[in-house]
Amino acid sequence: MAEVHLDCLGEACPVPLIKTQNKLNQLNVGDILIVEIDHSCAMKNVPEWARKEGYPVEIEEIEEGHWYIYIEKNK
Amino acid sequence: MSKYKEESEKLKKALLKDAFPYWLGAIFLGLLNIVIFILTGHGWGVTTPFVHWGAWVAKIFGAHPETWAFYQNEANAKALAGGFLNDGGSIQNLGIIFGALLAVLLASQFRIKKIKSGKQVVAAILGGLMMGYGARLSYG
Amino acid sequence: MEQPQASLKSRVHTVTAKPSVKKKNQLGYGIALLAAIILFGVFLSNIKAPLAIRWMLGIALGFVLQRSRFCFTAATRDPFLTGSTSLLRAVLIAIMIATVGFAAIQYNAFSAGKPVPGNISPVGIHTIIGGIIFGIGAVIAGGCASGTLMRVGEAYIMNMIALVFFIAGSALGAYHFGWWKANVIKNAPSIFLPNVLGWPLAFFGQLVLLFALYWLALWWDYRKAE
Repeated sequence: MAEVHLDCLGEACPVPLIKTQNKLNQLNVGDILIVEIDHSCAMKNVPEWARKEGYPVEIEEIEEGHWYIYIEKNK
Repeated sequence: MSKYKEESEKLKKALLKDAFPYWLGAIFLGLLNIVIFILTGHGWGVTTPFVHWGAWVAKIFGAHPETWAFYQNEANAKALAGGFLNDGGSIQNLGIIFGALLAVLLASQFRIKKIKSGKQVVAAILGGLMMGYGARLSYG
Repeated sequence: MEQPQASLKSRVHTVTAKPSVKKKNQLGYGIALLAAIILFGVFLSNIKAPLAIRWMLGIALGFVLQRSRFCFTAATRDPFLTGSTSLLRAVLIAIMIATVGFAAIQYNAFSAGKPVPGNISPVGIHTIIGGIIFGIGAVIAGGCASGTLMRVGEAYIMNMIALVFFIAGSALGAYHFGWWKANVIKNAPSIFLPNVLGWPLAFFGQLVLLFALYWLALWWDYRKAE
């Protein structure tokens, strides 16, 4: 069960979502993807997409305007 | 923690920090649009003041925007002549900037997002120009 | 009975940055800004009361846009990029609400014999061309008109650059407007639906159409989910 980091700091919408989708496709079942973002749109649209796909998602605010999104590829 | 304190903390968080659901934003925006319509006789517009801002800058460089076809329209000409502080649309646009800033500060989510690559600069320049021009063609 | 799963966060070991214990609370700055906003409003009301109202409306718009992460660009882009229509559906809701309010105001003026408020612009090929140029510009710049302003307030340097060039492009468009008007727009009709269809059909027809689009968007979003 790998933990993979995806740095999306400073990326403009919709790059964080696209990068997340691509990275998640490359992962194995059981891996956890940790996406690091600072874009306020992404802290909404990335979890929304992941939940729609059926993956468990958690968001953690690290500091002002800086978030980690945890997505588990459980299937 | 008393029940009241618990609920008031939740409300504070909902008001100041948590993101609103899209549908709630939609309701507020629809209502605000109606208020704008009542007060100004037209709906919410963002791009027309940008023309005035550009025209005022062009004036500094010696251009004569008052001769442009766009400014033969009475309402536009009036706005151009009145200056920034007299133009409701310009003030409203400025308000949008500060309203967004207020929102992030109250939520303690303010962070300066610097440029990450040259590609972003090119995209911003091209995108900005296209939006400005395209908006004019389709009447905002 | 399944054991409740431990939170994802707690199962991750490789994350180095943890939420800083002394997370800076920016609420103080926010309140200071609020005071400044109110002061500016008072200043404006001394010039002309309507200005102060437009200022507060702008503040409200910016606040709502940012807090709901509203994005008109994403509303039209995501159905194609990610298959999501949640923002598009939100935009449709906003338009439906505005339709009701606008219609009431316009009909009120109409039935009192007064001029009907609202901008009715000529529609034609220029609308399509302008829309396409605008749409492409908005997607590559990462935000449309209101989105750009919102992100300037959020301190995205990229959108500040976009704003500068948005203004430049607007001025250029206005400068060329004469050519477009004379060569492309001149015969384009300005269509006000109640004039063409009558008020009841225009009003209810628009609402029904918007609602149908809403349903279509809902289907589009969820049609592939198991």
